[in-house]
Amino acid sequence: MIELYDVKKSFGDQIVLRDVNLIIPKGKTTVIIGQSGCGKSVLLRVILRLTSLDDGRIIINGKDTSGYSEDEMMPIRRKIGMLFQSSALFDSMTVWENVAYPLLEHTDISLDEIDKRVLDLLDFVDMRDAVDKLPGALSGGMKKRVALARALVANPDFIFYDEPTTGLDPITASRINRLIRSTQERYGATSVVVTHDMVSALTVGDYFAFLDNGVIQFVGSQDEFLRNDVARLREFLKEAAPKKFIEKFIR
Amino acid sequence: MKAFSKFFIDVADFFALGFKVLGGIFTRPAYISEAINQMYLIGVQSLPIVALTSFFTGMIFVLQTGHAMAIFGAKMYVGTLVSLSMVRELGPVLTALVTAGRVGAGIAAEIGSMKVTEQIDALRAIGVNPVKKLVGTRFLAGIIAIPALTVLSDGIGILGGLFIANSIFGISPQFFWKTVINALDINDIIMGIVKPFIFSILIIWVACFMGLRTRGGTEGVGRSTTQAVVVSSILILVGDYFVTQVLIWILGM
Repeated sequence: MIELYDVKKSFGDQIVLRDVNLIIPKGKTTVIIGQSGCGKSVLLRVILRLTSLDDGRIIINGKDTSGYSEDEMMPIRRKIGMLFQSSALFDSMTVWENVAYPLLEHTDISLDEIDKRVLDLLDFVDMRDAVDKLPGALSGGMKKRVALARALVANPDFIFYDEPTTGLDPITASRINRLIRSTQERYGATSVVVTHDMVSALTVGDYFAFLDNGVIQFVGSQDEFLRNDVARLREFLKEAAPKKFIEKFIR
Repeated sequence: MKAFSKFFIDVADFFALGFKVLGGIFTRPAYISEAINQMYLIGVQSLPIVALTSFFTGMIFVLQTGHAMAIFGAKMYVGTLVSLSMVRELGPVLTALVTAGRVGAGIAAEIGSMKVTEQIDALRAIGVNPVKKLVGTRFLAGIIAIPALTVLSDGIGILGGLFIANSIFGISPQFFWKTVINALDINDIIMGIVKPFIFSILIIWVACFMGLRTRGGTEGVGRSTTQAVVVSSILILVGDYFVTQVLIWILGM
């Protein structure tokens, strides 16, 4: 479980996170939606402390990490798999090396076992054929899948997805969405998906949070989300997805 | 005023990076194989261009000074001049400038691209300290490889001088070699080793700093690379004066 209380973050004069309060429940997929540039990605980065926290408390698995230094955050980060928007694969390493890297760096597991786990995950994301390729030779969707395998390899308690479908064609995007779902079912990790893609959000999400103007304006289940009466969110929904598509999800 | 305070923040960050590297050297993991790989990239791969530069510098040096010294009838002692200049000045400075251009630019561009493509953040997210992994290993490789390159450069420059001394001024290789060896004492050798050691720290430090502070996509990478080469070249040339001055005091030359 991740708990955020009064989280604040500004860059210079620009306030990005005004006052964020959110509880991310264990073992479920929480989707944080909001307009581009509303600070969704910053929120993920602040939880990982890739970006510093101005004020507020962040409690991860019961530990208050707000005052943690870069060194103290290291063991916390190992429990969180992060899928970056740009995939952020190491472009000097092959696909195998990229996926194996967290294990090579932090564990004493034998190479045979690492190999088995890496190939297993590459099978899961259907990228086993590319095992010896360099990231430069892969398409955007393929990179995302490899990056997902890398995020999963160390058996994290949490998986963060930063705009997992942005910049992908609809077919590849729906494939990534299915992968996020099956990751959830297979590994049972707590997932946080940040997106403005409503199709993706409704496909993968159990809980929904709407971030607007630096504040979480709404939190709830899918049903509550689609029947909400927050004016800004209704407006966002109207623009973000065809009415028919949304009606499909309303039971 | 804003530019002024920004400059001081940059300088403070620059020194902070240095302390982080120092702090990381003595903690595990050591990333030895990564450092050896970097030594190959920095040292072995720079050898051809360093060799070419210093060989021709030695040649030109003897060509120019040989004629001038002939006026005073001291043409025979051109070896003395070339060995002292190569070991004390030209070898260290030329090697440093060439590696600043080749290695410094490479490091700034590589780390800069990793920064703008979120690979540095990916390292941190995996729980790896990027300063230790990327900067520490390059420091270790640089402070070994660049002084070694400099020693080779000194020798190759003197060989270039020998080639011209023999072919144009008719000085025998044996005599030339004798003047080269006789000219050098231990203080010259110390100066010739201390300088590249300091320059190597400057080159790697500046390059890694510029790489890590890269912002703004590919354009930012280009800017960081240029700044890395410009700043380290200036620091080498200005620093050379002060290092020489301090060494002359310390060694009592």
